[in-house]
Amino acid sequence: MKAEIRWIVVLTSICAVSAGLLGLVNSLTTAPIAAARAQTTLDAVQTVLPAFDRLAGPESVRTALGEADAPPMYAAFQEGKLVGVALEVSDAGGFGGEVSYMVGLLPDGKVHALRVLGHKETPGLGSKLADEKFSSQFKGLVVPAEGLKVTKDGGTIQAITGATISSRTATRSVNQAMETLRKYLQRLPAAGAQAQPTQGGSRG
Amino acid sequence: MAELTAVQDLNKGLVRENPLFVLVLGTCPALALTTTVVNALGMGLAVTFVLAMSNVAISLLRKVIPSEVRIPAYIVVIASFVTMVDMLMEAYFLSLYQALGVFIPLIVVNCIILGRAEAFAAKNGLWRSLLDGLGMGLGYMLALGSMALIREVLGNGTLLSGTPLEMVVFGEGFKANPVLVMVLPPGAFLTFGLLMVGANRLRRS
Repeated sequence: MKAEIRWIVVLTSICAVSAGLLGLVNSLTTAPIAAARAQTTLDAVQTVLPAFDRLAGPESVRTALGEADAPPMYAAFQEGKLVGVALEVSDAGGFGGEVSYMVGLLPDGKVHALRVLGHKETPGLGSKLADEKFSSQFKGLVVPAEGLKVTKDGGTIQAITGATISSRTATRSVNQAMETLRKYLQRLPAAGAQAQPTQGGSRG
Repeated sequence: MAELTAVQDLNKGLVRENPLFVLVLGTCPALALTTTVVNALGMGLAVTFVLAMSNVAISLLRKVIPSEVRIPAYIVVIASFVTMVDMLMEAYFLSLYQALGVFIPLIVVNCIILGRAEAFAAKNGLWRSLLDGLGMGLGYMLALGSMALIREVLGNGTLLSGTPLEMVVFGEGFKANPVLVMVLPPGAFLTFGLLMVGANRLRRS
C-alpha cells in the first residue's frame, strides 16, 4: 500500500510541476505567437495587393456590408478609390490537409497575386506552392466562368511537378475568392469610410 | 560495456552509436523531413534540445521516481519539454514551425528520447546524462543533415533553400529538372540505406 501511495505522489508532483512550467511558457509566448500570426497576415495582404494608402480589415468590411458572417476580406483604397481586395481562403483538399491562401484581386476582376498562408503539404513537393515560380502564373489572369484549372484538368495553370493535388488547391481557392468578390464587389467601396491609413502593396 | 570517459559519452552518438544509422531510432522524421537542409537542421536542433533537457531532468529525478511508474513519468517530462519547444518555435520561428508541422509534437514519441532516458539517464549522473543527450542529439542532427544534403542537392538542385544563403548547385538547367525521386519517399529510403552502409563501414574500421 505504501508503495502505491508513493507512485501516486511522485507522478502527481511531476505532472503538477510540468503543468506549472507549461503554463509559464504559454503565458510568455501567447503575445509573440499572436503578433507573429498577425504580422504574417498583414505581410500577406501587403504583398498580394497593388499600392494602397488605406486598408479596411475584415471587421470593418463586415460592418460596412452589414453582414456579420461575410468571409474575411481586406479592402484596399488608394486616394479614396477601391484598388484591390485581399481574401483569406482555405481549401481542405490538399495532399496533407487544409491549405490556406491570401488571394489579391482587383476590382476589374483580375487576379493580382496569391500567397500561401499555411499548409501541411509534402516538404520539397507540395511545399513549392509557396514558390514565386508557381504563384506568379496567376498574375493578371481573368478568371473564366468555369474557373481556373491546372493543365491536367484542361486549364491553363502549370501544376507543380509531382504535386498536382496541392496545385489544385490554389486554382480552387482563387476561384472561390473570385466568386466571393463578385458577390460583394458593388458594396465594397462603402468600407472606404472605415479604412485605416496603412502603407503597402508597392511590391505588387 | 567498458567504462566510457566524458568525451566518449559526447562523441559516441556521432558515429559509433549514431541514433539514426546504428541504433535505427527516429526514422520516421528522418524519412519525411530531410527534403531540405534547413528542415533537417531545425528538426535536429529541436530533438537535441529536448534530448539534453529530458536527460538532465530524468537523471536528476532518477532516485525519486519508483521504477514501477518510470515510463509515465518519463513521458510527462518529455512531453513537457516538447510542448515548450513547440510554443517557443511558433512564437519566434514561425516559418520553420510551419515547415516542420506535425513532427514537432511527434518528438514526444520519438524512440531516441525515451530510449536514452531508459538506457542512460536513468542510470547515470547529471553531467554524463547531459553529455549523452547532447551527443545523441548532435549525432541525430548530423545524420538528418547528411541525408538532407544529398536529397536537396540531387532532388531540388539547391542548397540551403529557404534561407538568404540559398544557392543553386549544378546550374539552373538541373534545378528545372532535378532527380525528383530523391525528394520523394523512395529517395528517402535509398539515401537512408546508402548512408547506413557508409556509417557502419566507418564504425567497423
